[in-house]
Amino acid sequence: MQSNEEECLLHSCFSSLKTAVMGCCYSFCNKENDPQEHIVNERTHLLEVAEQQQETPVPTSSTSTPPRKPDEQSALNRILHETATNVIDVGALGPYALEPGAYSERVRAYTARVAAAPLGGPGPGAGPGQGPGPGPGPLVRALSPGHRLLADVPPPERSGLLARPPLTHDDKELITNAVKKAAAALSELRVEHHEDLVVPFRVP
Amino acid sequence: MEKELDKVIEEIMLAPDVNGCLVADHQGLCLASKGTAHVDSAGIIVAISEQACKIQPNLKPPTVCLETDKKQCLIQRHGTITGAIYKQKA
Repeated sequence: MQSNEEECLLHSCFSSLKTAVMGCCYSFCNKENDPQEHIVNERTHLLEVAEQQQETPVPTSSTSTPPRKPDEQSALNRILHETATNVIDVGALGPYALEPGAYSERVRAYTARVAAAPLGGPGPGAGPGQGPGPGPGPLVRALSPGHRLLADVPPPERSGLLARPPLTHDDKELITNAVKKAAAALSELRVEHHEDLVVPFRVP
Repeated sequence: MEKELDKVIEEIMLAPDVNGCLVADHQGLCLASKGTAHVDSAGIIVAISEQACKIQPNLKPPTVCLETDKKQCLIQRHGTITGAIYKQKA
């Protein structure tokens, strides 16, 4: 009887000790982790020693990274500053409004400069003076000084030219047949194999 | 390799009033030129024919004729080949 009581007492002592120890370990482990993580998973630490070993290398790595980051940061800032000073951001400039006085002044200055530019000689054809009208005439002459390749034809001649038949039937046949034959001849283009491409070098 | 093409060029040159002849590929490379046709004109001739084809893309390639007082230049495309014939006006 007494042994049974003693056994029961021992059992209860052991169980309370076990829960106390497990409770201590559990509370100690949870101190480091997130308070919301109550789940015992593969990441929960089993031993106290493992945590102490992890704590010591972390401070050394944290001391080495801060000196590196300011260099990168300062380099980035330098590049940013250089770009900001050298690059003109047109999109960020905003609406540019010219004053009406300044605008008319510029129009006057530019037309004076254009009129003062050296006037070109008459073109190879009918001549630019007999062009579309007196307005753009002098301006056009000023813009293209010297010999012009394709001068505009005056309206009466132009209508006469356009009324003529476009191309004779013989000419059309000539060019069409010629190009067809040339295309056919090119399709028969072939490489003629005479010698071997790979030649062995007889090195003694 | 280009014997056949040379034969065709010779045939074209024998036609009446023809002064020069030029054949170019779709990228403007001059494949053959004879007479008054200059090798350097191949690029511009191909470009002209390309733009002319865009006017009516559904139809077959048109014939472009560049005329002066006495001479004319006929340009036509067939597949990837563009040909030009320089001749005296009839």
